[in-house]
Amino acid sequence: MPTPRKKRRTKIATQKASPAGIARLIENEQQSLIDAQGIKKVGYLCAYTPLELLGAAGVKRARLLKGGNPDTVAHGELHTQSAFCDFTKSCIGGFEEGDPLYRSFDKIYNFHSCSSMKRASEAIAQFVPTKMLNLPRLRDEQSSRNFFREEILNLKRDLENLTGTSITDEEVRRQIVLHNQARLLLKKFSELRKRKNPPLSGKEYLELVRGYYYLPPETLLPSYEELYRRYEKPGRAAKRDDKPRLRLMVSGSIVADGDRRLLDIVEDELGADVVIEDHCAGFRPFHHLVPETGDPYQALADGYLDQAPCARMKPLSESVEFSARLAQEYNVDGVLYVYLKFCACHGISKIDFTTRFQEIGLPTLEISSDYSQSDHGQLKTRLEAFVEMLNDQKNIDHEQYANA
Amino acid sequence: MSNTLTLDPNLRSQTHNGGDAAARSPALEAFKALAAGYTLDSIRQQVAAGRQAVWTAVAWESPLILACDVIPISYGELWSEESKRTEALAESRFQMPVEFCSMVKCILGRLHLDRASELRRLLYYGGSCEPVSVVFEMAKKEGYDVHCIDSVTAYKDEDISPATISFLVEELRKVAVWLTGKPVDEDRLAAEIRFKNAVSRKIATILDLRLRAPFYLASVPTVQIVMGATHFFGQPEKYTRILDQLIDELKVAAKVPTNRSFIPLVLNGMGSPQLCKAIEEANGVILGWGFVDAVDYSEDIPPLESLALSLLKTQLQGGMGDVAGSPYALRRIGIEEKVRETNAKGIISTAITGCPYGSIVQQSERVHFKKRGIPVMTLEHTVHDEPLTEEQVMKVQTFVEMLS
Repeated sequence: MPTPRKKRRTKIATQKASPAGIARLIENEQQSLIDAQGIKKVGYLCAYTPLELLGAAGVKRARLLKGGNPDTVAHGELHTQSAFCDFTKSCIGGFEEGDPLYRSFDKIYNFHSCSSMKRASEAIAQFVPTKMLNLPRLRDEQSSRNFFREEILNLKRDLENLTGTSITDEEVRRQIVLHNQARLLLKKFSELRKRKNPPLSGKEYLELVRGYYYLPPETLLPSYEELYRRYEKPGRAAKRDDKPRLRLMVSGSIVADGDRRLLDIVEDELGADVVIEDHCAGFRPFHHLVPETGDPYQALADGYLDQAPCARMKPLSESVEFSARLAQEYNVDGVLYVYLKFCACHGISKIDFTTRFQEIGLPTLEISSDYSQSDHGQLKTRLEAFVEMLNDQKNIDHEQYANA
Repeated sequence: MSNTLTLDPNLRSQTHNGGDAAARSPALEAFKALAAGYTLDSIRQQVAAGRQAVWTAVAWESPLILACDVIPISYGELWSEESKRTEALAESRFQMPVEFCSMVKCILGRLHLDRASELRRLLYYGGSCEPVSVVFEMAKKEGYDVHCIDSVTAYKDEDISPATISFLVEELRKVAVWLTGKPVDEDRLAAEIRFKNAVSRKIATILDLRLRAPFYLASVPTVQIVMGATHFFGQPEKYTRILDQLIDELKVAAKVPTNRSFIPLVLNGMGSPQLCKAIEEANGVILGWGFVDAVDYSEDIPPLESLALSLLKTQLQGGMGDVAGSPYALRRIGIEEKVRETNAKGIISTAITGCPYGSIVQQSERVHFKKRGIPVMTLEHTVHDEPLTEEQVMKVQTFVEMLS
């Protein structure tokens, strides 16, 4: 039973926009998606899916982003055995165990990124009709961009068949503008974290990003705008503590909806701030906007391929450099390079990332992660040691500066 | 893939026939001599003398490489020598997480050791295995000249569209320019395609005759003969003459009735020489081979289009596994057909430990074939050239005994 104090807090939160308010909007939207009749419901898997088309098609949509529960992982393993990351297992496991949201979808779309997600979509096709679409790797090649445009048109045709209504170019353009507004606000929210005392925590930022993947921009934008007006005011800090906190970046694999244990330890228990993320459930997809002029389908192709690349995209060096630039731009004290076990993109290439961080003088802690709950103590010890080491270093630097 | 592909004559000494033809097949004697002359050293000498060579999957794309007058070298060579050392190197120097398969670790380690070698050009298909793609991208930092054919996968018939074909054709054009600095001679490519088709038909005849003379040609040379169809051991005319000779021998052998009992099997995945021998020692005979793809190249369309179409059709048959990025759920169709064609009593399915594709495909086929009443035994292995474990041998023996 919640305490009266907690009840009072909840009531206040419903009155003003807040990350917790966004979370409630998401819950409501998910329930509404489950309950909805007479409207098509679409799930999608990757941040490279042009949501503008889903919006223009008038479907209800949600990203398959749940994860963090070892039971769901176990259900996924009925299909994959062990050699897949826990996120892909969770995507399959959600269907296997009958997650009401996942089971309510009429269709799943996947612009397949890594080969594990491609295989996961094939497994999901046993439960829900699934449409696989090609996502080129060579983001700098014009022919790959043109082909991606064709695949986006392929998605458009499929959505039209699904809904029985045409998608107009005008509506696609309108959706691009709307989604750009949301993307721009997420970028601006993130930039507020460049402040010495950020007005929002890493966990709060991830809540805002979750909103983008589950809520239509029409619902989301009023909350984002109100929240941004509040957060941008000078002097607002997420933590009422004058002492500057350690600034960290999280780089690496996807961070699923229910996978907050690392952030819980870092931000709540160890008193550091995650001020920027280079992963596809954090800031990374919001670094770029989609062009608002010209052919809307080419604009989508270019805009989505121009977004900051995940390690699946080629050349790999661009992903590495982006991560390094982001760390510098946000003036972080250290990097947590976190990859899910069996994530080929971020696990195998980790040496390229961690070496680059070290080259620019950033201490880096590498964490191989999964959704088991058994290694909390070990994880905390490693994070604690890293944070202590960085704090010591920061104090030394500060003293040296003061004595100079 | 396994070391049955190796060009190393020392390893090849293990691949004696072992069948009835061991002592009396002039064709196999000629084949052994042909294969013995096709080594990495011989390729290096040709490169030193001015020819070009490229590391490649040596699969559907091989006619293009040959038409460019470039020697294709199979990735299989990257784990044929000192594999334990190269695997350890990947884990130590490159900190590759232990959970990844021995194949990718050996590739990374070998590429590092050979970074000063003359064989420094790498071609890969972006739709194939993710870990391999990542490792090849990382090889750029080691000074390798790496080219990626961008990712296109057909999941359903309607995915073979003019857009996908023309994109792939463009990708293949780029390969030729990358290899030689100029467009491919399309007449030469058409000739290579016709030649490859002719070879494929001869191999199909050999495999068909082998059904009636199962002891004439043992498994290991069968695999080598089949795999040679992509590079012809550098001597295409001689290779085809040997195939013709072998066909003639098998025609005679097929007329001789055998009263030896055996258990006909289909091998799905690649088998090491040691596994092939263990199956034969247990009184099993592999009559169907999962890796033998049945797609011919069309000869009545432009040759680059023919290559593109062959990849897409191969994918729709689940052929070539992750080498072609084929949907895993389609592989079972071809396997089931092979079971019917060969009257096999069971399937032995192999995969490299830690391979995501192998992991999901084995699980899916285990469930599928169980429903169809076809016994399946799954085995995991590494790419190291080492004896089977006692457990693996026992598993093979028990499986074959169970089917007796």
